Amino acid sequence: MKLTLWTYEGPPHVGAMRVATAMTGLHYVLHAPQGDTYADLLFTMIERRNHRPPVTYTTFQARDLGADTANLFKTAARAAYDRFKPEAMIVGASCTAELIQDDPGGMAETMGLPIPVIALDLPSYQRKENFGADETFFQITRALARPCAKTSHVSCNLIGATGLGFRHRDDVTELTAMLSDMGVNVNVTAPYGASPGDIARLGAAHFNVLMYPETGEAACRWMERELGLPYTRTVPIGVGATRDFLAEVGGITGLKVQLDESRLRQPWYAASVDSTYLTGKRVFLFGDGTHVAAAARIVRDEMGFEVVGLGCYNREMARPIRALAKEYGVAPLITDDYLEVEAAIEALAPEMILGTQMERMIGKRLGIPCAVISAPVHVQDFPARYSPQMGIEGANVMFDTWVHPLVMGLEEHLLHMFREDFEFHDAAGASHHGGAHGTRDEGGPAPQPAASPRDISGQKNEGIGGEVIWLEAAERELKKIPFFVRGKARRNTESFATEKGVSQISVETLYEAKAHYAR
Amino acid sequence: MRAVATEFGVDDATFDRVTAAPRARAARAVAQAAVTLAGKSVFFFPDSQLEIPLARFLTRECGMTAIEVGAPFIHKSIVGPDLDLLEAGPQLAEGQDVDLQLERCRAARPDLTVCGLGLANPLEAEGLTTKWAIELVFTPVHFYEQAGDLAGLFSRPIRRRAALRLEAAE
Repeated sequence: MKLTLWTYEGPPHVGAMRVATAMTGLHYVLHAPQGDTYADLLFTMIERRNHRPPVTYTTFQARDLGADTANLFKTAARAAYDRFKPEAMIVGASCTAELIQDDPGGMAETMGLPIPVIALDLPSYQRKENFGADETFFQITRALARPCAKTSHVSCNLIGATGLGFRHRDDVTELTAMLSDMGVNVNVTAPYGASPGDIARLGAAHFNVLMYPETGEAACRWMERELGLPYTRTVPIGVGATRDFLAEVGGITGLKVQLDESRLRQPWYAASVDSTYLTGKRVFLFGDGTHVAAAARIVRDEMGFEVVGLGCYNREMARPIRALAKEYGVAPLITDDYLEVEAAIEALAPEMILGTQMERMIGKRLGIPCAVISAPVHVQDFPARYSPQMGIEGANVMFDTWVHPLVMGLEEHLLHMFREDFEFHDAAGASHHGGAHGTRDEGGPAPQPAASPRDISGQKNEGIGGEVIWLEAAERELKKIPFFVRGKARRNTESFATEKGVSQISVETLYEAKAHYAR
Repeated sequence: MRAVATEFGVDDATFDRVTAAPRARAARAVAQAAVTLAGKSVFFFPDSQLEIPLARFLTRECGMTAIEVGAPFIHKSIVGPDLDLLEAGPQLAEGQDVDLQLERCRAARPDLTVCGLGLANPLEAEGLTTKWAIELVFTPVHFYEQAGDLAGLFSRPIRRRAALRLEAAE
């Protein structure tokens, strides 16, 4: 753990809260100081939840520390039971409370509450939020799920959706409908919307759909071993992955694969001529491992973009993401430090970022368009409209969301044609950004001896050795290139010049480079 | 301002001469929001540590009635003078027992509840009008020129609730 301004994941007890908040009839007694109660607002504000998370904090203060914090825990646990009458309770300590070593689990056991009390032992200083959610759901499942008779009709459980998940709400709806088309009922969706009683009957399903390995894999593995429930490995995000997923379901159940494609527009939209301009757009991907892996396949195979870099912040996914990066021929970036991510993006100068809310901020700063594909989430990631990532509608939604931040195909030509016009000149902001604010320095102004710190290729220039000089005529010519590709043109020209051992860039060099990189 | 003036030995005439105009401006600005706020009740959950001075402002200058003023920690030497100006009546609560406070708040059904972000949406969903306290920390609300904005922060949620109509027009 280290102090930082932004973080991709919270401590593990926030993961436990994501599980508790997603469920019903479950209460979480959390040994935590007064300040930790602020975690509530993640759910009530970001997700606009209209109920408080079912969490009772012991809220010990500095003056309690010399006295009996353990007794404080027991009082809080008893009061929480009396007030909320939950079907089951989970107990644990926050990162701060872990230090005082009161053993909430042990204490709760001695209290003799008439409901199942599940102790969570979450190592706050080694692990993080996703682990906390995965482990919490696993412990709940292990404590409550029992072997039971299978449903007469083929059914599955949808596993892994939690509070504060990226589009979990809508993914559940999409998958439920898609599986129903194939003749598969949903037995239980968990943790999202499940009660402890629902957890007890998880075993009645014929198989599990592991929606989000980050938050559901440990429970799925346990159910496979203890309850004999196989689980799906494909995460159905993207058209190809959705087809693979249904094939997997067909393999498990013996049912014929059926997919209603009447609403599927993504493949035609990607093939239609307006999308030609998407070809080879250089995209950088970052987020949780699952969403990045799914998005990489869509980027390359379904949108015709080029993956120029990818990575994840959850180190549980480091191995598959490294393998994936190798397959795509790029360097993997496994880090939970947003400054490293920012540096990588700056160095690669992609034309688009698919990332989390952190990358959206980075993109804003660097002037690179960004669409969000993964948690951590922001209030805007809980849209009022139906907006899944999975299945048919998910593919449609992603096409729209990924294309909208880009400058459109014909717009590129028009901007080029009218670049001298007062509305479109370099200093005018993008029209869809309201015009008034922000100058276009995406590609940076024409090369200046002293490049501004925001200038992407200026830094690249230094990296090369800072020896390449732009002649004045070449600078003027570079300015004629539209702002949104100018950065790339300059970078390409500079690396071309370096490669050829040319120290001065003339108009000639500029066009030599253009021909060299023509595709 | 008066406290600062006294501390530095500024005489009353000078004080009045300098502050009369902005004070009048502030009073005019506050009066606009006070139209919405006057006669309404307010309940404070502990959050920003500004609860006591805010309660003083809303009761003395905007005509509201305070039902409960909760603060995470009451530092007598800092908020003492504000506390003295607060009329007797509202219950003062220090520290946090949120479930008990919620019970009192639901029973009192105040016209406006000032609370942290964790409680605001759940209380709105129960039909209580809220102002999230943290906004008061991010917004410049001090001295005469901001007094109108400060009052406006509290009147806006009440005006908004009155403005939203989703039922059929018939």
